[in-house]
Amino acid sequence: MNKEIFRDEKLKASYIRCRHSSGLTILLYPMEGFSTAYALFGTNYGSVDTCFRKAGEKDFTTVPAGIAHYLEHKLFESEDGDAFRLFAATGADANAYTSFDRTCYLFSCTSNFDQSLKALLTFVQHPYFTDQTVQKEQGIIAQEIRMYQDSPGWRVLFELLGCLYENSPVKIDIAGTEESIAQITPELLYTCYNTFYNPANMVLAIAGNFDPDEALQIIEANLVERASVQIERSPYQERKEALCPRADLTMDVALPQFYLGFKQCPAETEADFLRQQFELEILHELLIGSTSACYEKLLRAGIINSTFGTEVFSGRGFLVSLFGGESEQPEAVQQALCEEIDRVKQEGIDREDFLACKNAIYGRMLRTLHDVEDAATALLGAEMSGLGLFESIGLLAAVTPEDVTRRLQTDFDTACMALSVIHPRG
Amino acid sequence: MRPFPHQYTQIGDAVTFGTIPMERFQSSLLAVSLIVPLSRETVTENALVSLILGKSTRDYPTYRLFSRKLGLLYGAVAGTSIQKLGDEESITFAASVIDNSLALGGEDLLLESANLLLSMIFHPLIEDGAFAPETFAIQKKYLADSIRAEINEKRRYAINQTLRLMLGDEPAGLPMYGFLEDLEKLTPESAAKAYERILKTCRVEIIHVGTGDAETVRPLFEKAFGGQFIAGRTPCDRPQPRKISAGATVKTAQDDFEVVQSKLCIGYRADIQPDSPMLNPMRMMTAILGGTPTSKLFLNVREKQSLCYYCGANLDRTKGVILIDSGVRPDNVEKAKAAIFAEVEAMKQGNFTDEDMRFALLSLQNTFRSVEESPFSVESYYRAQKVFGIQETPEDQCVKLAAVTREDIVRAANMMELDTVYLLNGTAQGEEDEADE
Repeated sequence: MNKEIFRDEKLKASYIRCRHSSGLTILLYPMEGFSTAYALFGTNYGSVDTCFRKAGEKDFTTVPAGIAHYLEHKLFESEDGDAFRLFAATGADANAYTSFDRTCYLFSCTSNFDQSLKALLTFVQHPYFTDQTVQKEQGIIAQEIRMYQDSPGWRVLFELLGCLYENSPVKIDIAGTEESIAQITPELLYTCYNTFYNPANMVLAIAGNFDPDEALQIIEANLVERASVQIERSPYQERKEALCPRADLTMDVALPQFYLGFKQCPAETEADFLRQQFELEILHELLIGSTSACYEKLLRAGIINSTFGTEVFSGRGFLVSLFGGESEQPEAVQQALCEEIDRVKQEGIDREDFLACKNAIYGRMLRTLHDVEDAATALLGAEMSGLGLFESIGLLAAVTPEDVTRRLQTDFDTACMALSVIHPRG
Repeated sequence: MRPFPHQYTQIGDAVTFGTIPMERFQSSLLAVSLIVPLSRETVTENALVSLILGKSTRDYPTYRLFSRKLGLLYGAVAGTSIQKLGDEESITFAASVIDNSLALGGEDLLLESANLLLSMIFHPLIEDGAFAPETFAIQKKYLADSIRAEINEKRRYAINQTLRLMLGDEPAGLPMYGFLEDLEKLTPESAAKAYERILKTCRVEIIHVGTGDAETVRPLFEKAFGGQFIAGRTPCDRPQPRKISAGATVKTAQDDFEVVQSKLCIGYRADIQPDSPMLNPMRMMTAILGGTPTSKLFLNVREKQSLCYYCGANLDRTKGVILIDSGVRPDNVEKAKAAIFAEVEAMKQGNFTDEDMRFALLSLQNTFRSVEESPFSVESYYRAQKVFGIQETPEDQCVKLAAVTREDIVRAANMMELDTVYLLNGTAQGEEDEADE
């Protein structure tokens, strides 16, 4: 096993990265003084990966929406029962989640680390799907989809994504739709599992209170060797501009909720993409975040309230500048933001504001290194985005006011903008 | 067993200072909690005052300047929060910064954070006996919006409705953000008066958690809180915990909403307080019934019968309430209710295995042993201990949980009295419902 140690004296942190012969990347970050260990076993596979082929295959395979999330549910079930029982016996707290471009299985424990790690490796690597178990899950997942349909915060996001994206599955609920999940069969689950749960497409990150050598022994003894698979994901043809400028919906909410989004063009290389995200995050804050004059003005005019926030919404193949919250006048927010973009393009950015925004992001990244759960999550995330964690932090430290100014000139085209609003009933 | 990690020092009249050094976080948290009684008359103004104080001070009078200060302190997390603790509430001013050694420019971040906190508490935006009108208006509107926003998330709304039915106007049952009709009456002057009342009557708990030498900032707090820091101060006493008595009949209520998933909440009452000898048996009982992914409600009602998307049980030790909440398809409500009652009955009959007990114990111990993994959870754990007059480490709790017997758990289950059944009825069923039948 190829083993490297990454150390950063300034950040007071170091971690071990191993490349296992199976292709799996293992990240180990022991942390002194903590009681818990947190392990995250993830595959670089999420709801947007619905059209793909393996190296050597001629045609792309297209599958119904929602399989990544469906697999997450089904992997907890084995021939001998429920994986939660394995963890119940060790006392670990186990869970899993699926995002647009990632699926992760995890546990957090304060004792019996060895048994829990073995359980995690076992259940993720041993799929068991039958017609009967797949069918049973459809009821549970349909309920989950409905629950999200009742959530205004979730709906307002997907209404916006529907305005921005034409073909990318990012516009579809991560869990799929009731129609799409009805098409899921054990065969489809195995097809996706055998493609994306290949060790070469996976990362195991462990942080906190554990012994790295012991962890490596357990991993070595429990990894299933599989022939390495190379995956090609079909890119989605997306026009640069938004499809439609606006969506409106009515629900039981107290105040209108809105999202304003600019569809951005993700930079080509991994480092450029990450740099772009840092620059956008700083820009969002400078334009209309709580340190900006624009935010103060809108707040004092009663147009926004403290729920207002900004986000860089990003993943494999998609990138959106998001602005949202509650407001009775979402159009006024849109207008103020557009005017502010024009003004800052003309007048440039304030250097002290820039420093405050950059320091804030820097401080937040440093904190993750000293929190067990956040550290494992950040390590896995950085690795999957193709860069190491310390390298990512270094990229942020290098961002200059000039970079951010340049970004503003290129990335905020009003033709790529859309607004979605949820209105109160009645 | 590890000893209690810290001592409290009295630094003023009903003002204590405690420090819990923990190198591992490489950050520090300073929290000043003003503890006051909960009452219908004061809950709304306390919430408003807390909001106003958390976003600005005379030294940083606008949101922009306040936020910029936090940014320059490497993303310091500073602000106020309110939390209900039994019949009292705590208005907490907190500031967290990364360790001084990580700052790029050699700044003394701990000292800066202490000064910022004291500025929030002692330099509020008050002039001539009134809060700055613009800031007051913004926060008043925001609080009104927050109170109204309760209906946005139906799960939370259903739980709150159930608690309102169960607790009525009991202090512990008051909504943390207060009441719209009371909010309307507040003015910049009355809010400033309310803050004066809070400072006069509160007990003050100051805690430092994490890195940095607390001794370098303690003198600042001693100076600010020593002696009579406000004229006419008469701090409140800690109230005795008490049982909230159950109603004679089971309350039922239903609200209709145009949503696709119904929410069923079932509330039980039991004579449990934070210092009750039956607390740990009740914790075990709740965990076996519905606190883990191997619990009876999760396995039998959700997994085996597919009746709910979620179904779990929670104990609130401060109110003596055990609440079962679930998300159900509207046509399954009656079946789900029957299935939940059957599981509760099974607990009362002692119909659970030794394995159920072992799993529940491991899960609860894991939760307690995870408390000391973040400065925020350490602070809130020990603050609650202090307010309830208990001195137990998380490890002490683990030992007590391990001593709970099967008989204790059955006894706990039989302490539960059914109080309220609440249904948030989803009426938005359409073609899709028939599709998967």
